[in-house]
Amino acid sequence: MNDSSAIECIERPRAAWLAVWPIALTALRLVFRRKLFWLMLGFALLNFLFVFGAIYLLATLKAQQPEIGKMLSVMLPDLAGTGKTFLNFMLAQGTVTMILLAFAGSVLAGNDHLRGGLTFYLSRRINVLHYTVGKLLAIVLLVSLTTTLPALVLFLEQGMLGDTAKYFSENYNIAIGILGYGLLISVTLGLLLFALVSWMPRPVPLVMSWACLFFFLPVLSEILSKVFDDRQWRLLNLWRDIYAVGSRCFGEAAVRSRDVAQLSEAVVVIVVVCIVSFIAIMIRIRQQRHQS
Amino acid sequence: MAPLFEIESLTHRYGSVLALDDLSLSLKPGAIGLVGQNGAGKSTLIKILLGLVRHTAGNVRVFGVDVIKNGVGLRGRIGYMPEREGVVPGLNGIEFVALAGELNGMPRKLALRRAHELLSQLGLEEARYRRLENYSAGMVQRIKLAATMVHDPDLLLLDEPTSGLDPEGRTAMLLLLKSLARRPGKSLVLSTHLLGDIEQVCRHAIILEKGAVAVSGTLDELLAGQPNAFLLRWKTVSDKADRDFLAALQREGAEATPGDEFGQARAVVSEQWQTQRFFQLARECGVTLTGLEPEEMDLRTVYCRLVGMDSASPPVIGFANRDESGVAAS
Amino acid sequence: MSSESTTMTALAEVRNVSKWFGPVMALNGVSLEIGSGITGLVGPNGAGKTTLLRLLTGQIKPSLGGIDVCGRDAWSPRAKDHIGLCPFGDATWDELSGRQLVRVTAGLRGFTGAEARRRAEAVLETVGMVDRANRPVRTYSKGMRQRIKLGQALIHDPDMLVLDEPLNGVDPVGCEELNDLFRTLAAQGKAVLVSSHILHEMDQLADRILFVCRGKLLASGPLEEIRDMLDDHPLKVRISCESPRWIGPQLLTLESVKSVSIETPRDLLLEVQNPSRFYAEFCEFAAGNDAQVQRFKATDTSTEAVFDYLMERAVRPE
Repeated sequence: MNDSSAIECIERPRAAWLAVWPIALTALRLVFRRKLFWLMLGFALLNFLFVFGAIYLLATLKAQQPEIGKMLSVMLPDLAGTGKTFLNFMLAQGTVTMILLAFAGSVLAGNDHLRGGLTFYLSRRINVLHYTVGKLLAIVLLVSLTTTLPALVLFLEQGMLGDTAKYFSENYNIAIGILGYGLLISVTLGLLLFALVSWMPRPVPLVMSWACLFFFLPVLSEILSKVFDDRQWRLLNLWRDIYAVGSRCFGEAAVRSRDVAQLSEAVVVIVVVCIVSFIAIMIRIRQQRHQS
Repeated sequence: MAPLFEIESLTHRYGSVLALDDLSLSLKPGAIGLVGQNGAGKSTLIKILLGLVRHTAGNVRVFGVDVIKNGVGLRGRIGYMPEREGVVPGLNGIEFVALAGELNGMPRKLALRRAHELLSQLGLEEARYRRLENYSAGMVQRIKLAATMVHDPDLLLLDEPTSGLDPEGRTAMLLLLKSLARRPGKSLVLSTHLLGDIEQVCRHAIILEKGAVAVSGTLDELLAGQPNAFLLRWKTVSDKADRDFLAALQREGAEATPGDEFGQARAVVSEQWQTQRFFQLARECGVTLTGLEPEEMDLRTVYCRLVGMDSASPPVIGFANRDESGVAAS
Repeated sequence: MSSESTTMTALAEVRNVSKWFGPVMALNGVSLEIGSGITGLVGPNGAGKTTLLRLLTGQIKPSLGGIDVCGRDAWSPRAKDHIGLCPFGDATWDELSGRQLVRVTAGLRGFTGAEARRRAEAVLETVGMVDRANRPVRTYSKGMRQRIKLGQALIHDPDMLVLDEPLNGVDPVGCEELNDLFRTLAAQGKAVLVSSHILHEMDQLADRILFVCRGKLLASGPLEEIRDMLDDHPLKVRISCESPRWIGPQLLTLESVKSVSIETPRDLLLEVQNPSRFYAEFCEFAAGNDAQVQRFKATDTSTEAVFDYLMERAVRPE
């Protein structure tokens, strides 16, 4: 048991922050071990493949039979290769991602609260912050895998199938938009999910509250804004708020005019949600430490 | 030798509960047993030593380092094995132990290598790639121990390590703990209700009662019986023979008190007493002795007496549960 | 291997019972009797202990053979009136108070109204929880939970009590108190069957022990008698004295002594056949010679030692 290399590593252990990566990787590994998630990923992939194929087809048509290509471009503005294309693609992927997260939540972090995994983590050479960041990183990576990454791939595809240099130099802001929107989705949803999971680690309550936030609440917000004839109620729809801010990342052209007015309020809502989630997480973890 | 713990006036409250009350303790490195009723403050103390919980008042230093100021660094030198759960279901044995290593600052390759080594040493080689939820109770305890030891900590904090193990498992675990306890420069704190385990593994014992230290001493000190006191056992032939024997002992000047069951007695004799006399008296009364031993307390008796069990009950004559090899625990 | 005194009245009788679950044989041709007093049930995990307990309490039926409790088939409702189970674990409605739990159990057993209340209070008195029974079980320590479980098992005043790891997680004082309680119940003529992994508890507690391994009954009876029957393991006796090198050879002259080895400069380890003869011979020797014996004790008569020997035997190929 007295291994000299072990003694060596004790005398010079790595920085605690490097433990964040194994935490994230482990969480992801646990998610990917469940067959349910492969199914959901499959759905996300389907949409991606469909758009991938459509872009390819369109580009081929444009090159070989320009008239048909132009006609189709007009009919399908969404696939034009503008910022809008990617924005809407990510919106659609985002929906699948939301559902995925609802079920992944308990595997990613919920089990730690249920089965004493939290003690396992916190009694090591890390503190609460490292643990939280590790888990958030896992969620961010998962979300990126279903939204940001496919969007980037499509962006590259679009560029490479046309006039590469011209496309990329004109549309580099799309890349920024993709990354920005992706980051916004992952961080906001990540914090929110982690907060919910900390307080409701079991899968069923988690799915229900998640569904409440992202299906019930939007419906409610529409109804309320119609009933009170006040657009402020729409801010309750978090997903829409994220979309509004995210679309800003793609530049002016992508923004829907009627959303402009509410932009600053949407930002406020998102920031508040993030801060409250973070605080909730910290409170809950500190609470848990006293138990077990 | 640098002290292991230095605890001064430790007080801890949470909510309306006073978990630890002005507790002070200073211990040298070694194998230490921690005993106490549920609610006496054992688990709170352990969590404070780990730096998981910030105490309300007082100073706590482990290895000379303040637990609040440097909790993270300190945890790299401590290994904690909790009583319940403490595993990450969904991972297999190797992944779990390697993760534990990485979380303690080991690079991945080293952590994996150590994980494989430890699993072999603990007899879990065949189950390495099996998921933790498919492990039996005994295997779970062993894998938790592996995760606790992977980074070669200077201090092991073990909470009920034999919980849920069958007799073979317990024996194996205790043997392992004994060998861990004897490593030079390493310490072990064993928190358990099974006082026999502490007698086998530890050299020092601390008894907590109502959030403070009731007793702290080496096992030799705590379990020392009264000098010149012997415990006798014999086969009961008849009530009369038993009574005669006890009376004969009394006559000879040995204070003899009968034990819980028939055929047992405790005799306190003078310095000059020859043990041959026990046998002679027994022969005279027609009694055959089957056991003779200088009185050694067992930890449970010491503990129960301390925590205030019925003091009117007769002395419990349990022949000591110490290391049965007979070779004095060095 | 069995050693039973013929005067014991059997409260439970297991006749050549075998039980398998699919292809797995949990119990294989087990026959035993359980009478009043405290009986220990000991064995490694997977030995069939839990299966045996479930068969006795009528939760499952044997594949072959029969089990009677107080003269009735264990599966029948009548038999269940005579037996109480204190199961392993904490699965219960812990938002209820101890008192409420006991009353619910009384109701489940068919008692109503004043009778139920009376029994509940009586049982809380027996287990020593009268003053603490109004708090929810969730707030109880392990020891207190065990007592409530015991109370639930005793509510119908059964003749036989089956306990699965009753001292698990209980603090030492609680252990002593529970052990006293078991002894009291046994003294009332009940059969108390304790299944436990903590073998040294059995030394002081159990009148008889059942050793099981791999679905077979290895031995049953009082510990000393089982030990005596292990012929291939002569009794080991340790003797501490001033001059072992002088005493040792003299002890070899005793007929019952098979071998003498010098363990340390102050200790002798003897292997002995026929323990009763040895004790007689040795006492004679010690009475006649000033051997300055400080310690004289058999080292392998504990439940743990006997268990090891039996397991060795069980694993050895025939």
